[in-house]
Amino acid sequence: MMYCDNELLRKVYETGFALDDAALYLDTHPTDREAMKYYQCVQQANRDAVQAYERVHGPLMINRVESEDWSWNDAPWPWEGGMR
Amino acid sequence: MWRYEKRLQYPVKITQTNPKMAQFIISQYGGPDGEAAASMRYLSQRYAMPYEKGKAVLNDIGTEELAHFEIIGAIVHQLTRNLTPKEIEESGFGPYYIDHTVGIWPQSAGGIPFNANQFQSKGDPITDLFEDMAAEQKARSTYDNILRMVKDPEVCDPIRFLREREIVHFQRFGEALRDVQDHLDSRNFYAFNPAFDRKQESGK
Repeated sequence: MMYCDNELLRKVYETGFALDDAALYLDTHPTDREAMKYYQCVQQANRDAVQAYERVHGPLMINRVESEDWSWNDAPWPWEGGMR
Repeated sequence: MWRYEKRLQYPVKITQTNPKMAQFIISQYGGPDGEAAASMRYLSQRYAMPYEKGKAVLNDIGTEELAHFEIIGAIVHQLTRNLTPKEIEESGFGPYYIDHTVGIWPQSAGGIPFNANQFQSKGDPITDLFEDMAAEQKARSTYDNILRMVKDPEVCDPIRFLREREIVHFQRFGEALRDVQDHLDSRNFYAFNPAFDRKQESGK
């Protein structure tokens, strides 16, 4: 059971892990078409989830700051337990 | 969390092998003032940093140091590619070769293995930031020492970039230290540890 109160963040966790897991499988099975289709599906889902999360909570990566001011420092840091 | 970006922070393309230089430069991979120790130091210190600027600086410089660790690995790798046993014997690279062939392993120029005792995470923001500023200067000196030995411009170029980053990081840590002190009592910065004695902290 994963504890995550934020629905938008939960989607990032889920699609992010699906992406990591599929990518590892493809590293050793690069010609598996079925797996490649699955990767493309979770890749899109992850993109959507990240975009939806960032619209509300700000950037997840330092190259994705879209605000006029520097918002990278604003949200709580993951090690503080503020992101779940 | 981290995801890999499939490039170096600064390009490395070395066409002339040089095992002697590799043995010197590997110190910035796993030596006492190397990039591995830098990254582990800053990323470990983040947890005890109570202030926003300090957290961001430790997080982001700790991340950049991982990229520098990779640049040094790439330099050492390209300096030791396609060596013949004769070249290894004549260059003094033999002792490293016996233990690691031409694999990349974190050690100092003198062969001492990477060790967490090469850095501190003290749980005190002032102490940690002073250590970090010293670490950047020690790494800068090491790059200066390397640059006195290296003649190949293809090697000098990325080393100069890394040296320059030490100076920038020193500046940023200095600013973070100033910000920490601005949160504290200017008559006695050491009256309490803001990472531990929370109740006595005034203001933020």
